[in-house]
Amino acid sequence: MGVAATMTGPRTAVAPGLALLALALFCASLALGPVGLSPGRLLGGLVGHGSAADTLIVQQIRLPRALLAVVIGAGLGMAGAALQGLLRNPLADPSVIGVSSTAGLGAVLAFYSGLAGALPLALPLGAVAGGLVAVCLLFVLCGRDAGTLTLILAGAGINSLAAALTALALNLSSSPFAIAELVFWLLGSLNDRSLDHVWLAVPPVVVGILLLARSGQALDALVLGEGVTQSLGFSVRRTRGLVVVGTALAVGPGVAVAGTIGFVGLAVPHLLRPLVGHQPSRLLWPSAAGGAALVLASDILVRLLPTAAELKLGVVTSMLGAPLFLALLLRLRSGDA
Amino acid sequence: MLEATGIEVRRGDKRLLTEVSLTVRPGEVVGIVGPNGAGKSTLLRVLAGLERPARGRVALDGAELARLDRWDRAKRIAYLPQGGTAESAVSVRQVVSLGRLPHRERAGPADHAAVNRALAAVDMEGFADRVVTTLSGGERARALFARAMAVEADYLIADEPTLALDPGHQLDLLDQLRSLADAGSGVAVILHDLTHALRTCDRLLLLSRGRVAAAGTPTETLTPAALAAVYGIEAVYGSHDGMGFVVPWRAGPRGR
Repeated sequence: MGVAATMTGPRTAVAPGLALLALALFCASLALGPVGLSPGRLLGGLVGHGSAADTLIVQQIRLPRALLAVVIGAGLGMAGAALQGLLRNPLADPSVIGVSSTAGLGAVLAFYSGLAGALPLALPLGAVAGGLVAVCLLFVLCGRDAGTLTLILAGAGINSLAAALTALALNLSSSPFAIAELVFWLLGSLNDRSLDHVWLAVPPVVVGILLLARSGQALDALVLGEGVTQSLGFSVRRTRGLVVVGTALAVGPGVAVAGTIGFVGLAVPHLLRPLVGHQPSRLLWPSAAGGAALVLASDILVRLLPTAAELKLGVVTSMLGAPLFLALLLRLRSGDA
Repeated sequence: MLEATGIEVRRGDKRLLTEVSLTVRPGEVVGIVGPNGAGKSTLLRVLAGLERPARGRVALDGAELARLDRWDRAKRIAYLPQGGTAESAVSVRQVVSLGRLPHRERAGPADHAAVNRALAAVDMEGFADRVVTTLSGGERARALFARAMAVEADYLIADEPTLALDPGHQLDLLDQLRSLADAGSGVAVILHDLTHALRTCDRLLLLSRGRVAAAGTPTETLTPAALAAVYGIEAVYGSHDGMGFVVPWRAGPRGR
């Protein structure tokens, strides 16, 4: 029983608390950089009343980075919570089930085919399409009621297929510079992103988040199975579509502008369940706020850690997330998840 | 009145139900009995509007169920699947509250009262804050039954609700079904225990291989000839305290 048994009280404060934490980290992210800026100069640069240099640094360099961290993290967090609810499986995550890798493949193909050069929107669209393909494949492979093992296997299959095709695209790529660029990009980073990237990623991710947020009650009902959900007035097929499209929109564009940032969607809902309980609808918004906070924090960590080469954001989140995933598998095996 | 007429359901080449008709009126408990694989659960799903028959129609007070708005249907027909699960570590109260979703006003005081009534009806008030995954099978079954009751629908469609319950709680649940009907609801329920069917139901439908083998009052339906033909059993009949009982006693050639 423990925490899960108490229903109200501190739980309602979790989402605002996490939002405040994300806001604090957002400010910290803005303040962090090679040029030390006082809070006053930071604010001046932000609203455009500071010196030209301050405005350039804050608006063009630091703001896109922080904004993308918020939006990408929120999308990953909420997509993870929604997928875990939909598949009734605690191991579901956009990266575990292959959405991130196929979104990456979609973007690579957009690069490789030259579409990305001709049409700026081709890259994020390619990533979103890749994400959609992964989720659809997953449903085909797993059927209606995905067991844990089937899900993991299907995800592994999709991931390896995406990895193989990505490798093929790299292999056939003519320019070594393009390969290096692609590989670094796939590792996931928010470094040197511009407001253009923000405009590319933010609208679709926000739409995806809003779609996912609408699935809450149906996800709650799904705890009791599809028959009951249907009898309570929900269309299971519509809910599935909502989560599938919502996930692709919430995750794909993030991959398109920042590369693959893994395990956020897996870790955040798990970290929050002891605080907000297991009801899927109660997890959605807190997971969005928590995801934003986690990606902001990781992106700050990337900049603070003194490594020889620049540490990539996706590497850091995976280093944090992969052990958690293994720990969860162990807990599932002992029947305690 | 919930009325299914001439229902035919197919799964691939297989016909699960053929020409089955069933009416549930407010104030009555209609029992559906029959051997495994007779199509009982399929019939209930059709009756609850969860599955569309290949032929025939289901009407709720004259209006075709398939044309009804999903939410209206959900408010009027509650459905309890067989051996339902609750796979997440949510509390009993949260599970029961899901029954209020069709009313789209989960947080209202009326809903709170409905949830409490349902919890009280299955004797689970003390379990409201327990996590469902920590309950015993029978306790969980009662919580899931309370969820269906919390809808406070005009019709309750229950697929083997006594499964996993101990004898005491089985009788409690049958009493609940009876009092729901006495309060004006219509109940359709699948039961395997023939005595339960005999003492609880106003009418019975005996299904065999997707067809109606017998229908009518319980005593009309559960005749020695019908039980021999459908189940291949010989049963002992008797009465106690003015109520009849049927005990399957010997399996005939079909049972072997």
